[in-house]
Amino acid sequence: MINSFTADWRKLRQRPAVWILGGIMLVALLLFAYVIPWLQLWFPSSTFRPDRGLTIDQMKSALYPINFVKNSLTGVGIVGSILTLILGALVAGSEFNWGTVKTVYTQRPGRLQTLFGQLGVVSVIAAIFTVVFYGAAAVASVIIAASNGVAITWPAAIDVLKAMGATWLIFESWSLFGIALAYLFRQSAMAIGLGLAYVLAIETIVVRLLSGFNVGWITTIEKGFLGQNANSLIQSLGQIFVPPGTPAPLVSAGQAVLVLALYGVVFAAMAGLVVRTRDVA
Amino acid sequence: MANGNVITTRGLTKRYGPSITAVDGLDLEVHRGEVFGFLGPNGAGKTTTLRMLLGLIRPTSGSAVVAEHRPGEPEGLRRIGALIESPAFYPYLSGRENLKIVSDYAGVPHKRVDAALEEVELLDRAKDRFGTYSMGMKQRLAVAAALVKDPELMILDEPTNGLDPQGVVEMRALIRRLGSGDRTVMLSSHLLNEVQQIADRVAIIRKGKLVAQGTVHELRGEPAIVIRVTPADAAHRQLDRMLGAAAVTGVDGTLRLSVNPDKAADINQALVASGIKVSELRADERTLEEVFLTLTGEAA
Repeated sequence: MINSFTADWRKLRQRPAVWILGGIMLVALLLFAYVIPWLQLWFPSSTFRPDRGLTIDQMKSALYPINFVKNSLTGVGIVGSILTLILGALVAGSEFNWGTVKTVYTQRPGRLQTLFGQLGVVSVIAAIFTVVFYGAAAVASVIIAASNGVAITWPAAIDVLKAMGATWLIFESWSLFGIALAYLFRQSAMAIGLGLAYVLAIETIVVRLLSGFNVGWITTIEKGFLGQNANSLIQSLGQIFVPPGTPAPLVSAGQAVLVLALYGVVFAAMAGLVVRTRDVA
Repeated sequence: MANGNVITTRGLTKRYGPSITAVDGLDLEVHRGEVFGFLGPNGAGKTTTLRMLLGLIRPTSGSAVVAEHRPGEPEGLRRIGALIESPAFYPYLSGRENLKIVSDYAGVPHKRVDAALEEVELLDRAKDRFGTYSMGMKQRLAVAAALVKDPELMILDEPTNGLDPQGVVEMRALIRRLGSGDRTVMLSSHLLNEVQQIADRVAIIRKGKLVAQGTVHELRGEPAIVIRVTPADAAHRQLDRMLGAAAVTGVDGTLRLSVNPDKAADINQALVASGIKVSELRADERTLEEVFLTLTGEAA
C-alpha cells in the first residue's frame, strides 16, 4: 500500500487540477467569508440592514481572529462539498479517461492496494485543503483586525481542532462520494455530472421540499442525507451568533460525525467492490 | 520446452453474454526465453486473451498460469512488463515522472527509470511532457515502462500500431533487442513479416479459437523448388530418378520438387545436360503471411 500511496502522491501533487480546485475553494472562502462581508460592513450601502437584529459591530466581530474558525466553517458549505466531490471524481475518473487504469493494474500492487493508496492520498489532500483553508482565514482575520486596531485574540485550540476535524470529514466524505461515482461509471464526466445533480437537486430541492412536512418518517429520511449531516455539523460548531428563533441543527454534532464517517466507509466499500470485481476493458 | 513454460493456458474462454464468445477454449504454451508471436485478424480475440493473461479481465472458464502465478497476482505481475493496445500515461507529467510512478507502483528503485529510457532511446526527451510526445515516442515510453521492472516476460500488444514507417523500423529493432537475451517476449502484431523474422514460435487464432501453434518453420512447411520445363514428361522421369518419386509433384503445368532450394543449380544443370529446356526455376517457400491468410480464411 505504501508503494501505491507514493505513486498516487507523486501524480496528484503535480496535477494542476487538484491545486486549481483548492485555489477556487480558497478564493470562495476569502470572497464570501471575508472580502464581501468586509465591504458590506465597512462601506455599507444606504439600504444595508444587519441580519436578524444583530448590530453592525457584532457582525464585524465575526471577521476578527477570535471568530475565524466559526466564520470559516460556515464557508465550507456547498462550495466545499462540490469542489471536493469534483476532486474525488477527477482523481479516480481520469484514470479511466486516460486509460492509465490498465497501466496501473499491470504493475505490482493488487487492485485493492491501489485503491487504498489513492484513498490515502485523497485524504491527505483533503487535510491540506483544510489546513490551508483555516490558515488563509486566520491571515484574513488578522489583516482585518489589525487594520481596525482590534486586539488579536485567538479561539481555544480545541475549538480550532474540532472545526478542522469536522471540515476534513466533510471534505473526505464528499470526495469519497466522487471517487465511488467515478469507479461506478468508469469516467469523471458522468461522476461529476451526477454528483452535482445530487448536490443541487436532491440535497437542495428535495430536502427543502421534505422539510415542509412535519411527519416523523420524512424527518428521519431527511436526517440520513449526506449534505444535511454536513450542514448540521457546520451549524453545531460554526454558529457565532444564535438569534432567538434560529432552528436547532437537524442532528447533533456527534450523530453527524458518525453518519458522515459511515458514508465514507460505504463509499470506499462501493469503490472497493467495483475495483475488485469489474473487468478493465 | 526444456526449461518450462512462462505462459500456459488451458481451455481459456471469455464470453460476453450468451451470444459473444471472444476467446474460445484457448490452449497456449509460451516457452521460457522465446519470442512468441500471437497472430490473428482484427477481432480474433488477441487483446482479450492478453488482458486475461494480465488479470485485467477475468475468464469465463479455463485457466492460465503466467510467470508461475495466476493472472493478476502481485507476485506474478512483478515479473511481467506489458504494453496493452495504446500507451496510457499521465499527459501532464514528463516521460521520466511517468516512469517513476510506474516504478513506485512496481516497487523498484528509480535508478531503473533512466536505464529503461536509455534502452528505448528516449533519454533526451525524458523531461518533456508525455502529452507532447509523438506516437512513436509514446509507444517507446510504454516499452520503457514495461522494462522498468526488468521483467522476465514482456507482453506487447500491437506495439507498432499507429507508427510511421520509421517508427516501425525502430520498434522492430527494439523488439529484436528485447528478445535477444533470456527474456520471453509475447508479441501480438499484424506485421507478419516482422513476426516471421523475430519470433521463434507463433500461435494463430481466429474467432477466438486457436488454429495453429508451433515454430515458424513448422507453420511455413518444408521449402521446395518449382520448375517449368519442356518436355515435362521426360523431366518428370529424370527427376523421379534423381530425387525419388515422392519428392516430385506435378502442379498446374509445373513440377514441385520437395528439396532444399540450395540444390536448384545442380538440378538445373542436370536437366539442361539431358536436353530439357528449363524456362522457370524458383524457390517455393510459404511466407508466414500466406500461412496466416490460409489458416484465418482471409486469403483472396
